[in-house]
Amino acid sequence: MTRILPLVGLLLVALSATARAIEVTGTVTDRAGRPIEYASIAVPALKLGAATDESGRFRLQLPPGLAILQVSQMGYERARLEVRVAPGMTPLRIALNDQPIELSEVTVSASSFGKTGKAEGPVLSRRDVLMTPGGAADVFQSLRALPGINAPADGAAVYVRGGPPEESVIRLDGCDIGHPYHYERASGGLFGSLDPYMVRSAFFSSGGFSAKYGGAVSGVLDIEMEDPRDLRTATLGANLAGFSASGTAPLVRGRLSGSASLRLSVPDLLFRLYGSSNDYETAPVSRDGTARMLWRYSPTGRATLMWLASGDQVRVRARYLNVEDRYADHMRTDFGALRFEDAFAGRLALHGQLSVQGYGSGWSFGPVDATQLERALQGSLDALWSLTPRHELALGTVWRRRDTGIRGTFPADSTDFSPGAPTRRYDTHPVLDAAGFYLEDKLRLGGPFYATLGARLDRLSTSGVWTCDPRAALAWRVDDHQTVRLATGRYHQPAAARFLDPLYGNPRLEPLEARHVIAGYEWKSEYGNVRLEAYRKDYRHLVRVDPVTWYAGDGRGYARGVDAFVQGTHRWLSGWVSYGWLDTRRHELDDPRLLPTAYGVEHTLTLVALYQASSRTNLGAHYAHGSGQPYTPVVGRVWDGVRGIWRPVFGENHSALIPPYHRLDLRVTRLFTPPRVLGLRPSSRCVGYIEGLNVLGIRNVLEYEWNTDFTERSARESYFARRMLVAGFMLTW
Amino acid sequence: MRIRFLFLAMPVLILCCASPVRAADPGAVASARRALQAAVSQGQLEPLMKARARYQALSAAEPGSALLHYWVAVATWRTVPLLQEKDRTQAERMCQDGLDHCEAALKLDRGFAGCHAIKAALQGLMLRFRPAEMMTLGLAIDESFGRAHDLDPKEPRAWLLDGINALHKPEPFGGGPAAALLLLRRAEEIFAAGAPADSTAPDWGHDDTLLWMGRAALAKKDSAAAETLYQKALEVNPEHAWIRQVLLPRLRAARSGKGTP
Repeated sequence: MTRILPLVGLLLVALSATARAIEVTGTVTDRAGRPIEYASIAVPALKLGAATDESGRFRLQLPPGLAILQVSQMGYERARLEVRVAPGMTPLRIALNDQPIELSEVTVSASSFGKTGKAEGPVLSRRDVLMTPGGAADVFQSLRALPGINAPADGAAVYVRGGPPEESVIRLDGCDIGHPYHYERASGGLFGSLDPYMVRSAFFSSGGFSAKYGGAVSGVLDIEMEDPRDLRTATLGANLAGFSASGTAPLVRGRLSGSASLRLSVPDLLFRLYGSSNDYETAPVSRDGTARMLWRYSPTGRATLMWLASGDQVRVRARYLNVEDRYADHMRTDFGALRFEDAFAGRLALHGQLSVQGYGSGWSFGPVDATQLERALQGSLDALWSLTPRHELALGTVWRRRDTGIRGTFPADSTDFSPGAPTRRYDTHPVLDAAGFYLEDKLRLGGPFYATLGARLDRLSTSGVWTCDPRAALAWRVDDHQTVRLATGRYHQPAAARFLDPLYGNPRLEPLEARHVIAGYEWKSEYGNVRLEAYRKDYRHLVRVDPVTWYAGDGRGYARGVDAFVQGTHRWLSGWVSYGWLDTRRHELDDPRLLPTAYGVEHTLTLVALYQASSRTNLGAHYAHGSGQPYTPVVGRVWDGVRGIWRPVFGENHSALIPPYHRLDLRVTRLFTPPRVLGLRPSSRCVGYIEGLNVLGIRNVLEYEWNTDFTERSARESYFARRMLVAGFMLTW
Repeated sequence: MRIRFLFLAMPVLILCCASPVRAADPGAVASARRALQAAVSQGQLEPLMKARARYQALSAAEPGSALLHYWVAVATWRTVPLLQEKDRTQAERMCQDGLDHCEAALKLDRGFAGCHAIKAALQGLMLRFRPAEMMTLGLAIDESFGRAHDLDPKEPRAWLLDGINALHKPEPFGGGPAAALLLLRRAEEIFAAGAPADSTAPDWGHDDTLLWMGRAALAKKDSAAAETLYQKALEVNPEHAWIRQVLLPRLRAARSGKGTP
């Protein structure tokens, strides 16, 4: 008993200590004094917590002394305050600041058309790529359905607001990639060499883009690859034109995962069924493969290693000017990229990239027999520093080396390709080193005004000049639904390698320059999204033929226009309409006048409608229209007695128009339950589809050809000029 | 002897000097749990928000507790569908916050099967706000459920949530009422086998299982079975307002030809 008494005494002392706890009460309000309900008040040091009631009031039992309270509620900035707890203390009054709308929720950059309502989100998600009718499940073909792309005919290359494909930079996981197309000499590329199952999203901007993008004067396509996310999946697909297989697997769960894909395209069966507008000696073949490893080396850091290899070949009878011959072309590209990303102190994000690319192609036609070999190496480092939720600073540096070798035999006279035509050996090997730096400040100016202000400095080894590109964008968030944007900036990119030859070119050519001014309005809600944009792009230092230096950078030009985009969803129906008007002229190469360009399509219109007929069936329609593409007509002929051939007499450059382009594609997609065999998971899915390409059977013209004496003109049809029905499936488990 | 006395007395002192409402205190967690269950039974947004806020405060006070993060996620899963009707933006934010709590819990305890399951359920809710992410979220949901079942095949709430997910999933993707019933029956068998011994351990879901079995039966046009299952759910939780006031009267009216279930 005597032993227990002291223990009881201690217990009483302890209980009395507990009883000395003081009740702390208070109210949590916003800055306007309105109570905040269901806010949490925590005292981590004591592992105590309480929540406010409907009137914003709370109460806590705290021991006397200093206590640190953390107060938080969604939509408000977290508050931390020190309180001296003492008997008789007055109720606390804690006011929380509104959490500002995060910068990432306000689109400041112009000309990035989103369909999700959050305009700075992915412009095209992988689902869009896979479900858009006529897109052939191709990232680049799907982009054609967005404004800002003025692509002539069926090609997949990104012709941006009057600029040819080489005026846009394409990035893959932060690294520039060249030649990401198959059949690149057909309209700049017919399909992309990326499996859509490896792609997470694609951000596309047709102007006014950020200072972090250099080396492009027209557009940016920034593709993010899918994170394997520790999932074990496999996808098999096949259609009348080819096969594909892809998969992801965790190698060390939570740490290391991998993904890979293989695709093979052999449209032989398709041509046998529907014929072809081209006379192929053998059906064109393309193949590509991608492998990607992701290593999460810390809770915030990860590194990825990616390898992409692709190739294609084509042999077709072709006619050009005064010769009909076999056109043979083959291409192979290998691209490897190493990337790391990490975050420090929750505020600083670092991205580092290192990439290497090898590209080789060869082509022959008539007297032409040439090869092009390219090696590109790039390293870059980007930092994003989030100073506050309303202020971000981005800076980075990039270094690139591009080594381009073009060698072979070309006709000495551009109007004579016939047998025995005089030729010229060409062997050029320009090496271009470029270094660049950028700094960009993304901030809330105050109230509903947001701005992105930046600049980049670049130096080209060939010309030895530094270029400085200031860029600015301003967004005025009128209300929750409406935003008005203004953007302006200067952009530079090196001239194409073929102009930089020391013998037949000018290695000192200045970089091309463009100045963008863009004004836009956006209205968005969860039901739809409307964007209107007017732009003007002025070119300087375009390449001109020069009698002394071969080429000089004193050309100029402009592109101006309007893009409109309306997207909506109503119950089971969704879709969008995009329209672009473009007026572009250039004073470049051998014409002293300001003329329309060969790739300036004045009007483009796209309508896409998707209807979910049932939980299993989706119907889709895609209509595309483009007003005619300018071309240079042959208006006469002259007899060359020395060579014994007819030579063409050309009309004014780009003075005629190819007839307007129309195409309607329809698609039925149906989901099936695969049979439960071979250990397929219950969640395995099979998507079957039937796609009608060019269902109206419109014979769109790709270009015009003449017979050898230039007395007859015939139209060469576009690649999808035949009505085709393509069936296929994709099985994922 | 004195030393032995001190060893005996110290823990008593430490225990008694602690706050009476410590987050780790099973009483505080159990009290919050009762508040959440009562709110679920009422089926109204305000009490749910309040119950979630209570867990949120407990979790903020003790961020090292995986269990408290889990409970915030559970409360989020309960609250988001109702909040969505009132404020879609806030609901999406809350859903993301719930997922963040799941990640925090799993960082502390990767083997927490129930947390993998509630994460999958929240990812399923997230699809309502981000339908464009169906291709990746769909696979992630399957992966999370798979991991939950692998870690603890006897976790009934993982089967319950998987069953609800299956009921909302189209048949071609392995969903539909038949698939849902298979999963829910498995949950019901485990619930029927016994309750957890630990008062702080998750114990919710038995009434939900019977309720959703009833919904699945109704989807299969078996209204008699649905009524039986609703009644069984009421036996487990007589306070369940949604069943008592909405589902059962509507079903009975439909069975007597006066409406649709």
